Amino acid sequence: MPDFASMVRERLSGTQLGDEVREDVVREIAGHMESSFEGALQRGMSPEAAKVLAVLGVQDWEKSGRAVRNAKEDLMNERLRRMWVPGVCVSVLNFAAINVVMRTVRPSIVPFHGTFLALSVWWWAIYVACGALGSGWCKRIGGTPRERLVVALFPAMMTAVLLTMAFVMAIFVDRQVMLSTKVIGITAFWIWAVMIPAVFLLIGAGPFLREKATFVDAKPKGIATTA
Amino acid sequence: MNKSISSNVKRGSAELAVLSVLEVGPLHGYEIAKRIEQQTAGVLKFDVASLYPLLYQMEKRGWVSAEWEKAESGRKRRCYELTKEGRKRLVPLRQQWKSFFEALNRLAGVQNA
Repeated sequence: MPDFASMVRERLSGTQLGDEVREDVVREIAGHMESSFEGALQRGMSPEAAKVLAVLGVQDWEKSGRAVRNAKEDLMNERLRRMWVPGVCVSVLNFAAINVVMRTVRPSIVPFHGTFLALSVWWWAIYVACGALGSGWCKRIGGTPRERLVVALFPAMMTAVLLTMAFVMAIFVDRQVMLSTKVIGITAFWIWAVMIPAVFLLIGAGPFLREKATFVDAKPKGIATTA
Repeated sequence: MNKSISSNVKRGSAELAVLSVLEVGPLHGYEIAKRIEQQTAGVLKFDVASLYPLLYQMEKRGWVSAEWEKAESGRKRRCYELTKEGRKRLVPLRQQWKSFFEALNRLAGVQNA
């Protein structure tokens, strides 16, 4: 079997694509050429002729690279539009609203393994509202149920990333506090700032995860209809 | 026919062709191209430059989903499957093309040409 992957990789080297996306495209097109090669062999062609046929299947590498790049860029832009924009906006709104409420409403204090959890109905209400807003926004712009779920959980995921970074730093920076104390503190904080919010975000997102997308793509190109 | 109309018609028919062959079951790119070529007796042919960008765009629209799968040979293949959204899309798409050809037929008798 000729090394089609190397050939495709070389021919598409000038195409502006991210490394991971490029490797996916290379594997896929190389797979196509391998199938074409094998099909030609089965039809009785010589390996040389089969290889030529497989390579000829990609008539214009520049055009192929350009078309793939455009399609993949569209795909990435679309994901950015459907997930990252609403996800980040709702997270910022969520953090701002929580911040305001934290300063104005006194939470209930609940003991937890030698530490305390501060809980407030207002915070939960904000999470429910943000979960609904994020998934509803994503749904409106055509997001799939999975994308709506990710957008709804975005504020909790961002907090989880920040907490994980803080925990790693805490292990190395403050050596006077025992590791077990740090673990309990971080666990409490995880429950308080990630898991409980995630539950309320999901409650808000619930109705939008079940329904179908309201977004309707433009009608297929190339067909003139009077309606 | 000017170039933009021509390319739009090609694109629209390509979408219908791909969705139709995927209606039967999941296929990888080469199989999609092969089936379309076989079932249209070679009238419709896809090369790499037209097939994969189209598949990626259909994936973007949520009409097809794609997963890497291991073939019997051990090689990985990206298999495309029609989604619920794609299946739903196929119904009006078929109807629109049917109306289009009926209209052309009434106009120019293309069916009997």
